Formats: sequence, structure tokens, C-alpha cells
Amino acid sequence: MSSEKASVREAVVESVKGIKNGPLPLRAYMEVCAKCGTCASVCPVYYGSQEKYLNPAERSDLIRRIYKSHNTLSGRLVQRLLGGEDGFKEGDIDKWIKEFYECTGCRRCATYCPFGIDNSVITRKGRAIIDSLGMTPDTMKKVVQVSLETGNTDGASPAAFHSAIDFLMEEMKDEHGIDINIPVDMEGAEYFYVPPSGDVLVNPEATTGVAKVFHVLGLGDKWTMSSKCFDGANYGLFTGNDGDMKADNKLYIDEAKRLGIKVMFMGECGHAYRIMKMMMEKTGWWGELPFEVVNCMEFTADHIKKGSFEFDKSKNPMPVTYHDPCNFGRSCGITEEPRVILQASCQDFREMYPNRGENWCCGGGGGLSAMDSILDFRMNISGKKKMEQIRETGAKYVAAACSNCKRQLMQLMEYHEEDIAVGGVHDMLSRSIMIEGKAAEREDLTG
Amino acid sequence: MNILIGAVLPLITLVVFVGGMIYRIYVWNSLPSPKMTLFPAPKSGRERFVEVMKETFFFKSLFKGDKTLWALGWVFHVMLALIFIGHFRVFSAIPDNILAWMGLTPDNIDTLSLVTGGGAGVIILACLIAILVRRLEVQRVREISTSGDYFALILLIAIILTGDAMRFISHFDLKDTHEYFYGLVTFSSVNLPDNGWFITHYLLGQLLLIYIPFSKILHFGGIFFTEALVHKH
Amino acid sequence: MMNQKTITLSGKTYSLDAHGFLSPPEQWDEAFAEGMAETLGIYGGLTKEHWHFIDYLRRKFIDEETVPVVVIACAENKLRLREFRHLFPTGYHRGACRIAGINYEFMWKTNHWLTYETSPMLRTEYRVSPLGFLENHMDWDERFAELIVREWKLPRGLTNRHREIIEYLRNYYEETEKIPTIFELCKAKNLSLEQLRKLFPEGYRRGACRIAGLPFFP
Repeated sequence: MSSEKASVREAVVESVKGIKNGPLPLRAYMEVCAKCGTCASVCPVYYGSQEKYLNPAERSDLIRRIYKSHNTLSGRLVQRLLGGEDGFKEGDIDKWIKEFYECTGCRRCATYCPFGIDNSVITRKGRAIIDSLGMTPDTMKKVVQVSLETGNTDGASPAAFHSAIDFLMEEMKDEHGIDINIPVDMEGAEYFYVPPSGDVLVNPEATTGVAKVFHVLGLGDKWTMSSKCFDGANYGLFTGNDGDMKADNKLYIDEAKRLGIKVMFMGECGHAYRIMKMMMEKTGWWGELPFEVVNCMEFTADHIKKGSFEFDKSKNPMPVTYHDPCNFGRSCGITEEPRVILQASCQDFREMYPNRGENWCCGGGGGLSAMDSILDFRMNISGKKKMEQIRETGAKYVAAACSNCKRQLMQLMEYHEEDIAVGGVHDMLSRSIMIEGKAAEREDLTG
Repeated sequence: MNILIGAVLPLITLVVFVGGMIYRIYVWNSLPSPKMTLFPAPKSGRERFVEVMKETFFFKSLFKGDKTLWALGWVFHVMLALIFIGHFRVFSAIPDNILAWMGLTPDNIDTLSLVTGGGAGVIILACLIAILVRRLEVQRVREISTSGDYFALILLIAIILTGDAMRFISHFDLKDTHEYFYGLVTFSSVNLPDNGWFITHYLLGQLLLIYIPFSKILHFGGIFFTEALVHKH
Repeated sequence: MMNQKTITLSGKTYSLDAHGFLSPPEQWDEAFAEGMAETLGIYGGLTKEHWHFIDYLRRKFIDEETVPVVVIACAENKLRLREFRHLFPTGYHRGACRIAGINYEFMWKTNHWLTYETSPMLRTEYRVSPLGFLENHMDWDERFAELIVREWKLPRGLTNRHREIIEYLRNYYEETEKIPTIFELCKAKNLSLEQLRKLFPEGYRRGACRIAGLPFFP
């Protein structure tokens, strides 16, 4: 073995041995798995193709095997008696890179495992080890880099952002005939809107939806966006690099403090909200903060229930279904709010089954939707169940409150030649919300 | 020889089992645990306690996930619980005395034992065999099974078989074990019952107890940690 | 569409990448743009507005080696999104950029969100003749009619009146393999010539018969 390969092996084994020092769940998962096979029966990837290497318990065993042969009595005994290696052979790192980037981190396994073993945690550990060796797949590396440098995953400059915002305001003027504002960099505002950058630059109806909500509520000058921090996406979660994840997050906390806002108003991005709310806020990464974290869908749904808006449902006549992004549904508990919004904005809303916390992953979770190197895998294996689910509903529009899901779903539709449009939740609201008596003037577009 | 099997080994078993379990739980308790809620999640401490209890007693999430496995696993564990309770009768005469005081005749007690104990012994054997067959037949389970998984099942089956044999073939009399354990606990004598089935059963049982703290079987301790974590808001 | 490796337009064959985009880019010519446009739901040839946008994209691609995001591209060309969608029904990435001869890999390298836009889909498997008539009348479905109605910019879209007439025409054709005369149709459906023109702006053959999926009858 060359010295480079030896050092890879060393690093991996050391890292795995270190699991015995915690955190608790990771260690417990190493020791408690009864190999009952339930996780495989509920995993979207395994559903797509029943192969051993795609079995969640087997994937976790990549790490578990090494852990056991070093850290458990029975493991060490077996190794001494039978000889052989500790589970990590030369060249296995390539296997790790491939396989840990085939888990979508959807946490379905954790929901049904009798012991609550969360294979996404083990996957993330695997990816963290890969990242510490500098071997994270190029796409992911690039996205993290761009994000840390420019503050958004598009690498767009503040000037580009400003043009985009001006353009959106002109769009809304064209639709409604009046000025609807999208404030930028406004200090002293109350709400700081942080969407995924795709919702501004590529799929902007989600942002116009939010702008219209604020406008109708008379809060047109109480919110703001930031020309530097306009992308909640945080790929440090997907590469397993806690340092990157926190550094990316800090940019937003600092900006929020600078603007003096009271509410971090997260847009339609599952992992962004999860990191901001369930990790940053709930576990207090940065101590006491002068603001709270709220999701735009909670806010809007709340107001819909209070009757603050009027909708012209005929603007959305086609059958619409909702895909629960795993991060929103399973990890954050935001399930009813998007439905309230869609039911208010659309004529024909249909559910997929199962849904909410038991929904199937789109197949692009865990950052996989950004990786076109595994397109065939995503289209034919990890996204297979989702495709079936959507077809069953007969819907012509799938609303998904998550940029990564949207990308994956859009590619699924194209690949499988399905005539179904994909978009966000506030998009539907943007099309049907009534401002000064009428909804947006648009060409009749079914998508 | 008697002393070795009858006194030394049980002592070792006791120490390893109790010590092992305490060590495991202590270690788990001392490690930091992050928030990793899985929704829908209970909102109060009390609700969370109820959820974990539901998991422990009814295997709730398994029921949602895989009903066949749930049926096999749950019945197995219920039978195990019955057998566990029943084994109190093996160690001393006190449980029988209590039952007699409650109004049951020796015949009643024998029938109760046959039905619940004997019955459990048969049903649990059927469950175990079904679980083993499942592990061999179902692809997604077979492909992830290790030698440890098979060993645990075979060990359990052997223990049950010898236990059932004691009851149904050799008509073992519990007076013998009462005497043996009384002698052990009072450090006065080591009267190991002279019954092949018993000795095998006893040995295998101890092997199981020694094995538990080092294997996946300690899931019965672990789930309080892992399940509690995902249900914490 | 996903695995097509070549496409033949107006007799010339171009090679494509696995996603159906022109690769290598040097092959591009105006005939490619015109031919590709038709397969992407742009009937009746590329207009001045189309070319203005395509030239802009090609300048960005060839000279500046970049591809702007759709919002910026529209902003720089003073196009509203709905005007843009009207020009390019299959969207920015899959429509305009494809016609402009940009390839998938380049777009993805420039910005991976570019390849994720959510735009209305045009089912490009409608095989149509150069005049825009459905090659095989059995391929017809309502979506085909909707797309044509969109071309005509009818304010109320495809109405039940349209559907009635389409049904009549299709049944007639299926039974006789001929089309009725314009007068037969008007009599059977109680239509005046004026009303027919209003419903089908391009006339009888290129309007009503085409939208009903019937072949061209000279």
C-alpha cells in the first residue's frame, strides 16, 4: 500500500474508532442494529432497486463493521480468531464516496426502525470523513465554495441580485398595475426574507408570492431582503462539514443582526429552514439572538386562516398536488401550512399517499439533486417511488416547498416525459391572490 | 465439576451481565446527544414518555413499517415476558406459595404453568423458527445478516428447545432447582440437579446472559436512548 | 428525447448530447435554430423578437463564455416573463438556450441552478409536418389543440364550442377519410362563417382542420 493510501486508511479507521466518544446516537446506532431489514422496506432508494449495496443497513455497515472490529469485544474477538481485515480495504474509499452519496438523507428509515436508528446520521458521518480527506465530489465542493465566497449558491453578485429584484417588481406591476415593493438592504425592517436563491433568479413566482403577501397585509415596508445574503441553501449540511455549515450560517446571522431585524423569515427551502430553526435556534449555536426564526408558510397560512386574503381560484384550475419535502415534513413538522395555502389558492388540490411525516423522498435529497453525475441513478432508482406517487394523483402541477426537490422533480418529469409542471407553494398563491379586487393578469399557462 | 458449573460459572455470569449492562447504560448516558426530532413528535415531557412506552410495549413504529415482522417480533417478546415472569417459580418456592395463598390448588398451578409456560414455550419456538426462516428467505434481510445474527437466533432456539424438553420430555421437578438455588444463595451447598436437559439449558442460558451486554440484544436497553431522542421536541 | 444523439432538420444532421442539446457547439447555424424551434412548439418560423434574444444568448455564450439566469436575461432584453414564455414555450433552458445552440454541460458548469428551471412542458413528440399539421391523426389529444389555441392567442383559450367542432371533424374524418366542406360543417354545427373565423383565426383548413389533428388537404 502506498503511503497516501495508508494514510487514507488510517484517517478512516481513527475517525470511526472515535465514534465511541459520541455523540450518543451515532454510537448507539453502531451497537443496537438488529438487522431486521425494516429500513430497507421503507427506503426510497432500495425501493428503486433491491440491491445489497443500496440496503440502508448495509450502507451503514460500511462504518459499523469497522467500528465493531475495533471497539466491541465480540468484534475484536472475531477478528482475532478469523483474521481478515477490519472492514476497510484498500480502495474502499471510492466505494464510500459512491455509496454515501446515494443516500438521500430522508430519514424514513428512522421513522420506521423499531429502535429509531437514523441512517442519515451515519451517512453524514461517512460524508464528513470523506470531506476531511478532501474527497467530497466536485459538484458539492464547488457549491460550498461558491456559497462561502459570494453568500449564495449561484455565485451571483449583489448587482445581479438588484437587477433580478427590479425585474420582479416590474413583473408584479405588469400583473397588477400597481407598485408592489421588494425592499432590499433595509435596516430596521422587521422581517428578513431568506429564500433559496433559485426562488429569486430562476423560479421567481415564489418571491413575488411573498411580496404580495406583505403588500396585502400592509407590511410592504416592514420586510427586507439582503443583496448579499439571499440564499438560505447551506451545502455544509450535505457534505458533512460542520465547520462549513456553521460558517455559512454565520453570514446570515451577522447580516440579520446588522439589519436589526426581529424575524428571520425563511423561504421555501427545506434544509435551510431545518438548519436555521431546528439546529441553529433550538440548540443555540450563537447564544442569545435578538430575532426568532419563522417560516414564510407558517406566516402566510396563519393569515389565510384569519381571513386576511382573497383568492381567485380560477387562476389555478389544474389539479395540484403537494410533495412534502423530507426536511419540512419529517424534520421540522411543517405539514399543514403549505396545504392551507394550496387549498386556498387552487381549485383542485389532491393529496398523495402516504404524506406528511410518512411521505416518500423526491429522490434528490441530501444534496443529491445538485449532482448530475448521478442523474440516471436519481431518475431511475431514488426517484422511482415519487414518480409513481405523482402519476397516481393525476395532478398537472406538483407544488414542492424546496428548491432541491423542485430540481429533482423537474428532471423526473422531463426524463420520464410527463406533462406535469413543478413549482413552489407561494407560486400558486402569487397567481391567485387578489390585490385591489383582482388577481394577476397572466397568459393562460397551465404550468 | 459440580462447583465449577454450579457455583463459579453462575457467579461469573451474574457479574458480567449486571456489570456489562450497568457499564453500557452508564456510557450511553454520559455521551452528548444532539436534537434530532422526527415529526410528528410529542410536545410535552409526559407525551414523550407515553410515546416511548408505546414503542416499548407495542412496537409502534415497527407496526407502521413492517406488519409481518411486527407480528413475529411482538408475539416473541410477549411470550418472552411470560416466560421471564414464569421463571421466578424456578428459583424459589415463594411464587407458588403466593399463588396457593391466593386460592390456587397445586393442580391449578400445574395447569396454569402448562398453559402459560408450556404454551409460551411452544409459541415462542414457532416464532423463533419463523424469524430464522425469514432471515434466510427474505432477500433484504438475508443480505445484511451477519454470523452474530444467526448465532443469537440459534442460541435462543437451543435454549427454548432444552427448556421445552425439560417440561415435556423429562418432566423436570422444580423442587430440585429450589433446593439448588437455595443452597447457592445461602452459600451452604451446591446441589446441581442431575438432569441433562437442565444442565444444557442452564449453561446455554448463562451463555446468553454473558453475550447480551456485548451484542445487539441489548437493544432492549438501547431503545430508551435512541427512541427517546427522535421523539424529543 | 433524453437519449437522442442526433437530429435531422431540413435535411442536415446535427449531433446532440445525451440531453438533446447541440454538441459540439460549432455546428450551429440558423437552419438549426429554425428547425429546433419548430420541434419546441414555435410554429410559423422565428420572428425578429426570437432572433434578438437568440443573438443575445449567443453573444453571451461565445464572446463572454457565460449563460445568464433567466431573470437577468429577460431583464436585459426588456422582456416580461410571460412575453418570454410566449416566445419560447418550453422555457429558457430547454427552449431558448437549446435553440441558441448552448449545450447542457456548459450550462451546468456555469450555474447548476440553470438546469433546474420549472417551466411549462411541451410534449415534443407531436410529429408535425413543416406546415404544422399532425403527421398521424391518431396522435391527437386535447393538449395539442390547447397548444395551437395558445399560438392563436385566443383570449378564452380552448372552449367547449371548439371541442364540439373538433369532435365533429374527427368523427367525419374517421368515418369517411375525407374532410367535410366548409358549408357542410357550418350547416351541421349551426355556424356562420363569421363565427367560424372567430373560433379558428387561421381559417378552415389551417385553422379548424389542423387543430382537429387532421392531415393537410390541399
